[in-house]
Amino acid sequence: MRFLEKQIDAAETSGGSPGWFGYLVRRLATLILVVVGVVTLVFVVQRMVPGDPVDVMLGEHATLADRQEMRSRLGLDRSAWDQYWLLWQGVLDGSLGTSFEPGERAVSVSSVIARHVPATVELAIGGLLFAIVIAFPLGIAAALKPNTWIDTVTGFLALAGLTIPNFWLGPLLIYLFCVHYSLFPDPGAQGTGVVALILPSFVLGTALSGKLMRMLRSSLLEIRGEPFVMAAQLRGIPPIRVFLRHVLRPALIPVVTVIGLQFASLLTGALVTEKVFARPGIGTLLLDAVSGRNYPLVQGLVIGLAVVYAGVNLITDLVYAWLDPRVRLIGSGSFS
Amino acid sequence: MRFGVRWGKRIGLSIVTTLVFVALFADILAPYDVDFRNSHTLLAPPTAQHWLGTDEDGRDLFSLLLLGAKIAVMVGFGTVLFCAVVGTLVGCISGLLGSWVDEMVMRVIDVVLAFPRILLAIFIIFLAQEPGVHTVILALSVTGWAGYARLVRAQVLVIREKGYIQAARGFGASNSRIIVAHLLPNIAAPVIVQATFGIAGAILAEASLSFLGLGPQNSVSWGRLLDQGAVLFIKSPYVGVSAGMAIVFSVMGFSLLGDALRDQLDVRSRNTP
Repeated sequence: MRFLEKQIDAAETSGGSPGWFGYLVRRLATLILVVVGVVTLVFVVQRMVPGDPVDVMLGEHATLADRQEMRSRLGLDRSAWDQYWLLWQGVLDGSLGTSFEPGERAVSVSSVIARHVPATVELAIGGLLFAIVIAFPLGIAAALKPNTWIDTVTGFLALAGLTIPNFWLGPLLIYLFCVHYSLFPDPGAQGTGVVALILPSFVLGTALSGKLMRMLRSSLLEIRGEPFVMAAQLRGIPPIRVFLRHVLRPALIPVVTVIGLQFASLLTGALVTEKVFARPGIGTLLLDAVSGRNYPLVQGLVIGLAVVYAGVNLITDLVYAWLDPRVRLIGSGSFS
Repeated sequence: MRFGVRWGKRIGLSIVTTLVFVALFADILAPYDVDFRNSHTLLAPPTAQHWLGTDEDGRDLFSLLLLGAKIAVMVGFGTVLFCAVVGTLVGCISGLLGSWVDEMVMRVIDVVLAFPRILLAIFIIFLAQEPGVHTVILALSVTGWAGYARLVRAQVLVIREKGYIQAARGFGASNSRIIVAHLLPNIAAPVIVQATFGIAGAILAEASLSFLGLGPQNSVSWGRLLDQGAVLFIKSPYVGVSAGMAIVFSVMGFSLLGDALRDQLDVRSRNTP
C-alpha cells in the first residue's frame, strides 16, 4: 500500500485533474482487496462452522458410497490449499463454481444466477423509484416547514417505513389488494409484467424511503443555514431558484451516497419480498438453494452477491467523489 | 421537535421496559404452555379463554407472542453485546496503536462490511444446520462488530491527541490503562446510541431470518409466527397481524429510544442506523 500511495502522490503532483487518477487507483486497489477478503472469509467460515457439507447436501442418512462420491465431487477429499484454490478458480473464470443438486446434471453457478438476475433488478429499480417518489416530496416538505405538524407527520411516516418489516407489509397488502379488493393479480399466478411489479416494489421501497426522507430533511436543513444561501437570497435571486440551485443541489450529494449504500438493504429486502410475492429472482434462488441443500450454489451466490455489493459501493464512492471534489483530495488515511 | 423528542423518549423507554420485562418473565406470564394444543379451537378468533385467539395447531397465540419476546430480546441484546464489546476492543486497539495494526484492522473491516449482513448470516446458518439461538446470534455478530470498531476507532483517533491522554502517557500509563480509564468513558455515548439502534436491527434481522425459515429452530419466534400467519392470512388474520405488531412495536421502541439518546447525549454520528 505504501508503494501505491507514493505513486498516487506522484500522479497527483504531476498535474491533470486533481486527485482523480489517484483516487480511482486507490479505490480499485481497495476493491481487489475486498474481493480477496470475501473469498477468504467464505473459505474460513466454511471450515470453522461445524457441520459437514456432505451432510448438508445428502442428509445424515446417506450411504457411505454416496458420501464418498459427493466428497470427491465437492473436492473435500483434497488438501485445504487445493480447496481454497478451487474456490478461486471459480471466481477467476467467472463461473463461481459448479451447481449440482443430488442427481441432477452440473451447470455453472453464474449461468443459474444470470437467469434470475432480471427479476431482481426489476424489483430493485421499482423499489428505488417508489422510495424516491415517496421520500422526495415528503422530505422536502418537512425541511421547508421544520417543527410544524407537517414535520411531525412526515417524521412519523419515516419511522413507520423504517420499522414496518417487508414481510408484514407484503402479506397485508396482498390480503387487502389482491384478495379483498382484487385490484392486483394474485401473487402466485403473476408473470413479470409492470402491474405485478407495483405491490412488491412499493413494499421494497418503503424502508428505503424512510431513510431517504430523514437524510434529505437533515441535509436540506444543514445547507439552508450555509452562508452562500443567504448570499444568494441577498442578491435578490427568486426563492424558488435559490432553493433549487443553492439548497437542493448540494443537499442531494449525501442522499446519492445513501441510495448507493442502501443497495444491501434492497438486496436483503428483495430476499424477503420475493418470497412474499413468489417472484423468481435471486432471493428465491438463494432460498431454494438453501432448502434444496445445493451447497455449491449457495457458496457461489454468497461470493457473487458480496462482490457485486462491493462493486456497487465502489461506484457510489466514485459518483460521490465526482459530485463533491473535496472527497478526492482527502488523504487515504482519513478516508479509509 | 422538542415535543416530539420528549414523547419519543417516553414511548420508546416504556416499550423497551415492557419488552424486557415480558421477555424475562415470559414463562411465568404466559397463560398456556407452548406445547398445549387445544384441538377444538384451531385458528380461533380472540375469546375470553384465548385473548388473541389460537394458531393453526390450536396453541394460544398470546402465550406464543410472550415467548417470542424472549427470543427477540435474547437475540437483540446478545448480538449487540457481543458486537459492541468486540468492536469497541478492536477499535480501541486499532486507533491507539496505529501503524500497520490499524491498517490491517481497517482492511479486515472493509471486507467484513462488504458482506450484506443477512447474506453471511444465511450462509452460516445454512452450514450449521438446525441452528439454535446461539448460532443466530453468532451469525449476526460475525458482521456486526465491524460497525462498532469503525465508530470507536474514529473516536479514538480524535481523543488520543487530547492533552489528558498525553499526560497519562507522560506518567507512564500502559495502553490497557489508557483504554480503560480514559478512552472507554469518553467513547461510551456514541457506542450506547449505536447499540440501541443495533438491538432494533438485530431483532428485525432475527425476524427476517425466522420468516425465511432460517431462524432458531425449536423455539417460538415472531418471524416464524409471521411466516405461518402470512400463509393463513385469508382464513384468520390474527396470527399474522399480532406477530407483525409485536415486531413493529419492539423495533420502533428501540429506534425511538436511540433517537432520543442521540439527541440527549449530543452524538453527531455519521452512521445512520
